[in-house]
Amino acid sequence: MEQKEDSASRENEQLKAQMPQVSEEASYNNNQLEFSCSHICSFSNLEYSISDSAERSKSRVKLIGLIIFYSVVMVVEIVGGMKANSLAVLTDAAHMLTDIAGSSISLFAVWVAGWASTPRQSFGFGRLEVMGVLLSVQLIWLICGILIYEAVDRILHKNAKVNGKLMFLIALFGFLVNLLMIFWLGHDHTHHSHSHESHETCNSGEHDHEMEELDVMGVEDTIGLVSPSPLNVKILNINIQGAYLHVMTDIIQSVGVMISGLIVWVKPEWLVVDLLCTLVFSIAALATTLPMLKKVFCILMERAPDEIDIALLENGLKSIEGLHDVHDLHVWAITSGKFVLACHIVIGPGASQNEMLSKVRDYCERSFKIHHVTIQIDRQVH
Amino acid sequence: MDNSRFSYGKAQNASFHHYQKLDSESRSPRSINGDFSFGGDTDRRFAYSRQPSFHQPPQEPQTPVSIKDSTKPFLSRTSSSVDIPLNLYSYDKIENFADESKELDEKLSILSFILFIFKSARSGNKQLRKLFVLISLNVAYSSAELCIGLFSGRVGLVSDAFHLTFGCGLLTFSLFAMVTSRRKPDRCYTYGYKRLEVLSAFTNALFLLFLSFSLAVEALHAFIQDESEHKHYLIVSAVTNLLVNLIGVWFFRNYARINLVYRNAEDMNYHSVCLHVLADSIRSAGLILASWLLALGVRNAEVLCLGLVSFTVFMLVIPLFKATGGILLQMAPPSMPSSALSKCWRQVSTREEISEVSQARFWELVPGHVIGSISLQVKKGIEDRPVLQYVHNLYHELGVQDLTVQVDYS
Repeated sequence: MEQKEDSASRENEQLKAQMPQVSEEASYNNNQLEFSCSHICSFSNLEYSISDSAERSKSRVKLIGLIIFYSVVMVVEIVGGMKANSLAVLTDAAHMLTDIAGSSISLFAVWVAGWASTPRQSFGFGRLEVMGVLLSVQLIWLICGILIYEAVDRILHKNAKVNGKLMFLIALFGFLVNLLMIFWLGHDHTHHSHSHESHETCNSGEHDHEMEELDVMGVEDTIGLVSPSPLNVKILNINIQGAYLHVMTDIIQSVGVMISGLIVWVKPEWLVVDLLCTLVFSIAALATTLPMLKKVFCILMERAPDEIDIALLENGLKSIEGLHDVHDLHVWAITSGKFVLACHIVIGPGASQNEMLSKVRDYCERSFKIHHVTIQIDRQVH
Repeated sequence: MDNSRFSYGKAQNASFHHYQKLDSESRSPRSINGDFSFGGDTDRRFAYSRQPSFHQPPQEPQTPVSIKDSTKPFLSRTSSSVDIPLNLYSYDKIENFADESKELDEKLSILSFILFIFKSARSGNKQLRKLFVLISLNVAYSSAELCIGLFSGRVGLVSDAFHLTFGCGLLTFSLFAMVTSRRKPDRCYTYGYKRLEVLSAFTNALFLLFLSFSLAVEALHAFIQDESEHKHYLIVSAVTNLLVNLIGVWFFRNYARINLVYRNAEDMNYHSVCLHVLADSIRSAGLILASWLLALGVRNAEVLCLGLVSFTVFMLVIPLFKATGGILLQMAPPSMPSSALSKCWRQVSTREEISEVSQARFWELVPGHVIGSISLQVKKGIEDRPVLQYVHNLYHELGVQDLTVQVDYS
């Protein structure tokens, strides 16, 4: 174990000497190098870890802003609710509390993911982000369940007077708050689009013949190119996606409560509408969490990521000259955006091993942004 | 690129059939050695006693029928990683794979899903059938409770029925995991589907944690409100619930322990199902005890009982939660102490041909299946084959089944 630390510190010193400017992120991430550094491509890995930590601090800023804003709104609601002695406002304040809890979980996960890898946790702590998102999604489900339970309760205890006007106003306020948060989080729709076009890649694999035509074209594309278009899209930090999902479900539910509040305000007898609306909108909100759950599921199952076209990867690898065959190819994601590849390759008797290794590694990094590659060379035995 | 179609199909087989073979091998020794995991009748307590924790019995490769050369052990880890016999994979595997994926597409409709469950329940192993019986019992009971609650207008019964339905859903997910995890690895799930069992165990553990938390909240609520509503009908439902869950505990009695050594993926799943049923029965028992104590006139009985139950369920589930969480987080395998790993590291790096060892990472796909990758720096001009053999042997003895070794020449 001491030798590992020695070699890591040697590498650290080497790289510190090579980088003239020492930005704060670089020094913060020097212990990341223990995990991602190799003698052959030291620079590209350092770049990757710097951009990685820059992205993480951006996410951190966004999440902290979210938490602060929600806390302020919650305090306002608590004070207002106690003054007006309204249970509905206090319930909404409790709702805000769960929002804060969800965002804190995301923030914690983002912070933890930056920790250096340890011998027990050799891939670093990136996976914790995925678990954090799982937890947030479950909080969302919990909130939906509680809302449905409350709606059922309101129906069954018909003697309780439902104040439609108050419901509407509170829901409107919540709606506006959450709308503001969407702009703060700065969501762009790119991660939807590329997940749409690439979710076909794994499922269509069994139509071997059709894939073959596609692959021939794909291979010709990738020879000597920069990178295929689906991967130019920036993959958002999964925790920001989770926080965005939280805000989105809140908006959907606010809309539902607004509608039912409006109807009860206008026609106080139609209480069933309240229950119906709540049910419909809660189910809609739950449905929006399903793609995120699917993504989390795929990552936890060590599935080949949707963003990477396995057939393209394999054919591209085989098209490298000197490389005869690829087998035991495993690609999986530590967290959304961080990919790991392990494979065995068979090279011809004349090729140089180091050259083949660097070619394969370059190809994986440039075309598919896979930064952690382990390749075992089996020379063809003839 | 003329024979690209040919080589593409072959290599596609090669990439994931490595794991198919490993899957079928790992299944056959168990049936030969006497059904430790599947038979519910054998007493598993003896299976766990006094095993050195890091010693994984090396997977004895069984020679499948399709191999012509039966003298060499097929895919023993020492030789397979270096010399790959290239002409070993037959073409009929492509059709198998296509069939299975077509099956998956068909399964997407709910009706075919239910039919699929029934079909597999009939053909499955003992534990699967037991789980199926348990789930059907639970479904019958919860739907009866729901109907009675709705017709008589008692909210307590309805909420209890919802809680039960949620638990049923989780058990169904465990069943689904048991069935699906037997599928062969394909191009997307390159490591196979066994992780699904770990996921279902994790989900069950999460549910139990949530249950413990909600019971604590209920205890707090009862403490603050200080009113003890005594509902008679709830006791009947609690007793029936207890009976149903005790049947479940009896089915899975071999797994009724808190700390378990997991030898394979199914162990985790069965353990989680057993804990689920056990926790539910403890909860019902707690409710019955609380009503009895209230009838006796003990004050704050509800708070005490609920608090006790919540604490018990929490303590029950924490080891399972930690174990499944560790696997999902890709921690180093708990069965390999870090002293053993560092000893291997030292042994590798003190070899004279190897100048440096880096990026040694090990993780468990499912309990019992350790995967690793390691990167070596070797002095120029050294033959890589003996080094590869040595490293593979060394880690195979430790229990790492799949190791990818990268050799860089400095």
